[in-house]
Amino acid sequence: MNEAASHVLAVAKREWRAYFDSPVAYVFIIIFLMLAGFFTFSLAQFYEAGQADLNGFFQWHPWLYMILVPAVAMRLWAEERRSGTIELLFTVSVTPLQALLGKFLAAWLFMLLALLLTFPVPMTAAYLGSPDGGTIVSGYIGSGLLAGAYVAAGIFTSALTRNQVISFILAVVIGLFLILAGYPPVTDLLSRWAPLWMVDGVASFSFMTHYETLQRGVIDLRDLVYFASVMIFMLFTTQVVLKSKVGR
Amino acid sequence: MRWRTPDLKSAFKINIQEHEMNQMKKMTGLAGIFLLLGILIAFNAVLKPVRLRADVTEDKLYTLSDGTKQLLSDLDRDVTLKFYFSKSNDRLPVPLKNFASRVRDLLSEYESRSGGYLVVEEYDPKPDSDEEEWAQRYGLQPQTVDMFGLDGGLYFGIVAVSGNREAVIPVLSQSAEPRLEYLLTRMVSEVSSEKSAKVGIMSALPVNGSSAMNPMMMQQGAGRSWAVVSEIERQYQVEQVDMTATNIAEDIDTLVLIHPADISEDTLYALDQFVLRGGRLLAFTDAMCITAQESVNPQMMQMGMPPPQTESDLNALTSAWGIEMMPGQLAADEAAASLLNAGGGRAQRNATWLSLREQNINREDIATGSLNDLMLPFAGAFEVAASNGVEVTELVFTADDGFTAGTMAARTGDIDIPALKKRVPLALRITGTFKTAFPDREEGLKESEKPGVVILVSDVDMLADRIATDSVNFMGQTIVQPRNDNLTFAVNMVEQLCGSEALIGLRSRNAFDRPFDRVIALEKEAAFKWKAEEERLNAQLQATQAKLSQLQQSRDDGQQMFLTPEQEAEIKKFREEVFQTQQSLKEVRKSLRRDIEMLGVRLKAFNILGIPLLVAAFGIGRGIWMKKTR
Repeated sequence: MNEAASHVLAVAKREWRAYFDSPVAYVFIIIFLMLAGFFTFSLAQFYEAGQADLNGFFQWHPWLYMILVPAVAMRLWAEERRSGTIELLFTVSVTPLQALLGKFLAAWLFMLLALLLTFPVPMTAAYLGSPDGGTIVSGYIGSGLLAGAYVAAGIFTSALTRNQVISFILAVVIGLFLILAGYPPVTDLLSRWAPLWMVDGVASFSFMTHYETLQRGVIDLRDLVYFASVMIFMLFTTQVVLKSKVGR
Repeated sequence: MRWRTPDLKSAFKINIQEHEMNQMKKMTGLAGIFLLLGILIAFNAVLKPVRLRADVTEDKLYTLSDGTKQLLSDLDRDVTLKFYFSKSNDRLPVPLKNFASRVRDLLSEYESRSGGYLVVEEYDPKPDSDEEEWAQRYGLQPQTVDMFGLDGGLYFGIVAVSGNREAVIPVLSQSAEPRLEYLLTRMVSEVSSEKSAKVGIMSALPVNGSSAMNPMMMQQGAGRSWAVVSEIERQYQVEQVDMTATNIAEDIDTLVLIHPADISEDTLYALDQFVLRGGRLLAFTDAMCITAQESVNPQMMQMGMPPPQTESDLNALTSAWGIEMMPGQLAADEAAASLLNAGGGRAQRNATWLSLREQNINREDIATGSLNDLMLPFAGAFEVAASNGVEVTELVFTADDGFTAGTMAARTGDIDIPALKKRVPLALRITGTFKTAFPDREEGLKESEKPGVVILVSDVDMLADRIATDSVNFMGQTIVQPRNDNLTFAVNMVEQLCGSEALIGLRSRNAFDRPFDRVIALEKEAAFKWKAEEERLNAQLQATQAKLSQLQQSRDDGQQMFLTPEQEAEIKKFREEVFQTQQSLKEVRKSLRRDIEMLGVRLKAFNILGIPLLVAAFGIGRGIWMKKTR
């Protein structure tokens, strides 16, 4: 168990270093922070709205992650497979599951770091008024889980193909589906032919429904389980894909 | 577990491991994926009715209050909450759907806390369905979400049914969310009790139009009853109680007492006993009641009748609880001063004619939390000395630098501001175990049997139609509409007193609102500076204009048909000055606004660029360092 954990950590460390040894990580974090700031202050009009809450900040995260997380995750497997380093990785006594968890951990932590660097936003809210600390913490938990779910989806598409661009596009599509599943244009389309239980079922797959509760300041077991389910499912599927593809 | 690279060739080999390999492949292959998906979906579905959650909001916005929990656990008869929501309407906006799911959550919280007595049923009233017919029968009103009205109507309301009693919220709007728990708890409390509340109204003023209590006023003929009385009558069974009553009927739940002038000791004793046996009292008393003054009948005066008493208090009763209204003193607050006509077309600010805003109203309490505009002309001032076993909640009050002024000074408007300033309470709610104010009387209760509630308000005029309502003539019909929140205040108080224990002190969930205090402070500061600057410039402007008109007059008096070039130049100069002053006023306003705008721009720049620049600097620094060490 200990050995397995240390393998996971070793892979995570390797991936983490890979991010920061190239300018990509910095460029990514800068883009993420600037976009988050721009969306919050220009589009959501945080200052003009005059409310010391972070609704305008958190509401954009699903869309931001949809574009940016696939960019972080796309090279995780695709690059290894393209350059053939994947076999090398598995020969050094690391199981695919350990490698997968390590990579997932590294990418998720990287996203969490980017998320944590948005701390000036809650600070600004606290400077201007008296925001609800509990709601902010639970909003960050929600956003962190959301990022994890996107990372898991990105890793999955990265394992599907050697081409990073295809991986990126596929991950965006999956993200889009998970956002839009609860949105009226989609439910509209569905309700034309599908029964109501199915429309509701599809809507309950949506990130938004579960993310929204956390944004409000309610940490509900059902939402935590949902995000965990998405991550477990994506990682499991990735492992199946890896098993069937590697070594061919 | 180590994972073995699948080898296609070995997969075809027939050996003992083949069976195991197939099993593994199945588990980890496509079937495995579907299996896991099924398990996860099922697990999520199983968890759906489980309500395990932590409300981490500061004000526990999504948690039921103790009052509601108490009411639900005390239920002893079945209550059904029917939630009507057109969820199959495909044009529902997402925020509304989310709001509906919060309502659903709250309803299931009610259900789970009721010990099985409360059941929630959800209905989806589709057009022309039985559900829709029932919704309409219950009085639910369809709303349109589509601008063309093509959506067939959206029903979003709640009906509470228990036995043959029912209560309805015909339309739920998102703006009602802060009051949602209150509305639901009130409905449950209403239908779960056997009888509807009975309100007694007792007054020395002709609040019912023609006053049966005061035969002298009968001569004025039957007038209209006060809007506040009509409003209470619309919702409750109302009984008039004589001002000289020596006993308050047993079946009266809540007594509304308006201006108890010249109240006898026996009547006070009746009130005392009424409160002690659990009756709820809402008393409006006044240190200077202008309405009483205005109701003077000239015929009465001719007959040598004494003018009506303008002062009323219940001190003989309330002093036993540690509360008194200061005789001859009015509450004053400069920040809430109203502009009054001081005669001769002059307007004067009067600090005892109170125009109260949010900061003067208890935002926490559900009955006052939604109010933001009250007018109390010449209100009295309460003094709360000792708690005496009762709990006092201030519902309406002056600012912290309020003070009291004598009634004479208030009339003339020449109010001296004393050195001693403090917040003066104007409306109080007293709860707890009351002690009798008449310990010497032999019979009767000496202490309340169960915790009681009394609400005291230090103004009567706030209820008068002239202060509380506006009459608008609309196509020949007089329409009375509220001018401020005075009537809502009174009706909310009655509503709260008529409801169950659970409703009293139920918190308003207004904490959704979290304004930018810093910006508000800046705005205030700017407004203050602006006012000073405006006054200075206005004085300058007036002086200039006066000179200008003086000059122009001198031209018109006929002595001189034409102005000398010097005078022309002077007029031009003055005109220029007027223009300049107006320009500088504009500038002042702009520059004051600039502070607030600049703060916004600075914060925006800091948030969008601050950390990214730091990250970039760090990245570049690290890059250079790595190159050097390599």
